Amino acid sequence: MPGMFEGLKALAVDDYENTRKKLVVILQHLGLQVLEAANGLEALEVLRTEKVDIIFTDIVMPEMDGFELCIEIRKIPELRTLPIVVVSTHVDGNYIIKGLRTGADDYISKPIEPDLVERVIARITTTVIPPA
Amino acid sequence: MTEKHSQAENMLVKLTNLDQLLTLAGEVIITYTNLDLTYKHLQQLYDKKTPVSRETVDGAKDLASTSAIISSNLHHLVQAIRTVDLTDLSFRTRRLVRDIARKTGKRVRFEFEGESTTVDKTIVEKLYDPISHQLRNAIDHGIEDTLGRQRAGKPEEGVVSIRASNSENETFIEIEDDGKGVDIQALRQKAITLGIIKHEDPFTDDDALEIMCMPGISTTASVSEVSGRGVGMDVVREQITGMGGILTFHSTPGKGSLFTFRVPLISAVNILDALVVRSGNFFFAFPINSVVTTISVERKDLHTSMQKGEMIQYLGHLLPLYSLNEVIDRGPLADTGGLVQVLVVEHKGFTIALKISEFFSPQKLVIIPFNGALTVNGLSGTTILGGRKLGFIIDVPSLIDRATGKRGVRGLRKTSESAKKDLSAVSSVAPAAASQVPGGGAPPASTVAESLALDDTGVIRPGDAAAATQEFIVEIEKLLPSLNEALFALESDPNHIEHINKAFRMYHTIKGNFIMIGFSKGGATIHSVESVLDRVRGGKMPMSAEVMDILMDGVAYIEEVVRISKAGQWTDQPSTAILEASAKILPEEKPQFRRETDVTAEAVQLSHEAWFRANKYKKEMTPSYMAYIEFDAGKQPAFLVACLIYKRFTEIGDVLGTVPPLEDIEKGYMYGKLKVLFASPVEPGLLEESLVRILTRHYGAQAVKFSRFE
Repeated sequence: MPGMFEGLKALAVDDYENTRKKLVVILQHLGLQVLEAANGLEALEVLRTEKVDIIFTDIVMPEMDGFELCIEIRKIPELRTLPIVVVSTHVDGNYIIKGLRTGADDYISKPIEPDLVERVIARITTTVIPPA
Repeated sequence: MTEKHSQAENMLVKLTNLDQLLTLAGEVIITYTNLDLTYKHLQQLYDKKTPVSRETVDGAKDLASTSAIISSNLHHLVQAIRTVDLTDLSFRTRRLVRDIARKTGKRVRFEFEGESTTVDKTIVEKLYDPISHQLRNAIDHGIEDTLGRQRAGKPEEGVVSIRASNSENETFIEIEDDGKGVDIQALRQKAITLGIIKHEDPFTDDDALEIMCMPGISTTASVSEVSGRGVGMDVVREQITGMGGILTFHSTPGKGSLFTFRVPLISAVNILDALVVRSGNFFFAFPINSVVTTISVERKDLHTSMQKGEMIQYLGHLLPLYSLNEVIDRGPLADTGGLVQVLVVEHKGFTIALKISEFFSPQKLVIIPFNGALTVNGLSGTTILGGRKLGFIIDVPSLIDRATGKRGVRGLRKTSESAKKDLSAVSSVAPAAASQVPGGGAPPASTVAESLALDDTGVIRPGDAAAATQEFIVEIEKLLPSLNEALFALESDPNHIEHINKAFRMYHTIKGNFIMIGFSKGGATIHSVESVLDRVRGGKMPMSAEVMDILMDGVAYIEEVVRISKAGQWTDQPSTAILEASAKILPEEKPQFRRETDVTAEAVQLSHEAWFRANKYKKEMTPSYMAYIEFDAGKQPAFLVACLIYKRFTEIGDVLGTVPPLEDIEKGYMYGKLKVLFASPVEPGLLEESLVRILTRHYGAQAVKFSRFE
């Protein structure tokens, strides 16, 4: 549903510009405002100054990979609950589990499917028991 | 007396043996009745001052010889019941030789003769250690490498053999190798250098063994170089003599060596190295390995504090001083004046001093354990001392417990590590490497130290769960001989499909048992072994040396789990060696290779720890629920969505367990059906409504069923 996540700000992290742009387009289509970073270090830099609602990150990147980024983010008290979605070409179960263990909240495999992104954002931003 | 000790003492007994035992018990009763009648008859004769007839005397004589026969039969039968053959030992040693050969890169053929030799069970257990030491020595230092063997004109494959046999009183274990032998001349030179012998003295095999067994010397590299052996020889000999046995040795340079262990058939079981002391009118024996030292002190050197009672200064530490007589309820010790005799004993870092009357020299004693292996008031059994005097054997852990408990200081001064070193450094009686108290005597009761450790780690095992665990462990143990047999058959005939199938089934059953008792990591370890076998079985992988190694390591791992579990001390641990080795040769596991189980029918397996939590919730009246979810993961892997659902449950409650278990889900074992057992304090209506909504809307749930779980 276009524009359904109006008002949310996302950070897209991928060293490969093509995939990153694709993700950015999908997210913008869903109404999110999107910031970009080319690796984990850049992402941390962005997070220092910007408040974002959700992160999408690739795994294999130079400088700092997606797993390391998850670990670094979870070390920052304010970002302990920041939703992180790992986006990767790996469909190997071990990678997925490793992502979840290092602090990711969900996992999307490439090529990215727009409706899966929608589903993942929806579930991740919903709390089990709605605030009264 | 803790439960784990009694469990560790279990053994399987042949029914025919028990029947014979019952028959003999019957004969004892009959003989007793006849004896009683004879006694009464004699009493009457005596009362009437009637002379005793020839007949009566003969009758009594018959009874005496009958009871002699029964006693002897009983004795032999009980011995027989305690014995096992050496099949297990042969399996273990064969695997060990294989393993050492693999690690040292040597080619070794192993022969085990005399598997049917029967030996007391406790002795077999004690034999394994020295045998394994010796096998290591033989292969590592005795057998030459391939090049060395070629040069020596020997077949490339080295031979190591064990021959076991029984004489009337002894078991013989001969360990022979056809390696380079011990360099007797080098050892002789060593003995001369050390001033033990002179140049002109003869030098026998026994002398050579003495040099090899010299502690401190034997462990240095120099002797290892000259003798090609020596590492741990002192330890081997200590273990053998600790069983009341003898180590002998013969070596022909260039041809090989033969080491012979001679251990007594039974008596060794109950022999204790002890320090005997007198306290008042009683004699007590302390296991020598718990004795730190003996000292005589002037009365004026004793310290007395209001709270802590009498203390003694020892190596810069104040040790609590107790009267041995009082600790074991034998009344106060009469003050005889003069020096105070003090015995310092230690167990697991707890050290106390005991006032006694007199010391005697250390000696070997035969233990007569108290019935039922109980520890009574700090005593574990009795013994007969010289002059037919009765002595009590002290159980040091429970003695320390009693002593400190009496004075009401449970938080006992635990001697620091450095203090402990000080103590052992001057220890005048205790040998450096204290030999184990031979089994058969009473096991030590649980100590203060042990119970504290338990509190610290907070390990709590529900009793019934522990009992169930033991049952499954026994089941696993029963399978081990056949598994071993299958593996060795497989080793000599690697492509025999029957052996492969048999080993596969065994591993599969054992895995199931592991999982039943909540050893999921153990289960995963065995699962990887099973997977390897499965591929071999399906013709997808050849039966290689790597596969054989994994199979052998698998059974060694299981044996280890069984051994430690029976002592009640196993915590679920994987074998990383096995997991890594099998991961190397297995293709990456894909979820679709796994079979699907009926999630609705399977019960949630609770870990011990989850069990404990569940009970806690029950007590607190926090409701527990079983949720059954069928979902369509859509474009994501089902196991991932299951993990995410799992996480959702943890946000509103405590997940006690799932079907399939989380470890299996994480491995991809998930087909869109999930059961979650969890406890939550959230109001039931709201809880169910919220979960159904979020799971249906965001996780592709098609059916969500909730039920209160009692």
